[in-house]
Amino acid sequence: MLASRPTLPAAGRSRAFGPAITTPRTLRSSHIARVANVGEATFDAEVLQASKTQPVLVDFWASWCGPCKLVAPLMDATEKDFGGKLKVVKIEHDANPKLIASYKVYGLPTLIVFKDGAEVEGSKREGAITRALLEQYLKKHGISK
Amino acid sequence: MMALKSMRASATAPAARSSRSRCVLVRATAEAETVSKNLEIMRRFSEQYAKRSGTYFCVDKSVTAVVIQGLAEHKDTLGAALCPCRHYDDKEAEAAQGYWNCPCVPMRERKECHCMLFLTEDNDFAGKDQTISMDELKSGIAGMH
Repeated sequence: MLASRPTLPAAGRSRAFGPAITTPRTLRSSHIARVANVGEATFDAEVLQASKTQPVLVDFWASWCGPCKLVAPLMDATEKDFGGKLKVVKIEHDANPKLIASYKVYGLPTLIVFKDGAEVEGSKREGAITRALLEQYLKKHGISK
Repeated sequence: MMALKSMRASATAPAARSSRSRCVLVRATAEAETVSKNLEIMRRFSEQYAKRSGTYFCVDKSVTAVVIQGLAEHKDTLGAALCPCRHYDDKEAEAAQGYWNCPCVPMRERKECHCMLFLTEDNDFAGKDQTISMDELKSGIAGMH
């Protein structure tokens, strides 16, 4: 199921800032902005309309879902890693029942890619994912760094 | 429900007497810590079932903690430890039916736990532990909400 050794995110804790140094700081995962949570009110603008200009990866998650917590930092990092070629948003399960029903989300987390204003057929993927598998999954749907 | 109460009292020393009368303020704050008995039940169940099934907790124990909390919440609200990593059209019906009550049928039949609570030894995310203390549990849950 998981082909490569995963790089585990720090368990929800941000690392301390290092001392001031003259050379450029290496950006750490704690400095990466978290991806936006989108809801039913903003879904059309933030996902469907936005996907007309760039692909959007949607991460459906739930509060007491362990694997959702595990992949959250990866979602945050991915948007940055793809440098504007991919937008990543998260949709929380309990607060967005209509979206959950519309996209027939059952297992959590679920990833879906949106392009050109619609869900990419066959892009729905359930379960935790490693960085390497995520890149493979995105490449399969025409999204590369 | 187990209730643990801790009392903290702080007293401010009386100010020096001035022409205005002053009162000594004693502020007592009672912090009630309520720990669901189901959280302890699900913690123990998880340890026992991991040992019985020959599976291991996730190397990131906050994942384990989050799932155990989710199971305990469902046990509180539904009377059954319904899997917290899924969407259900009718939670009560699912809890009554039992397929997704932990340990769910996929776990019992094929050791497939998509919550990543019980991981087979060959899983890249599997750690070496089959125990999780209440302190580890609380630490893993902290900051989720």
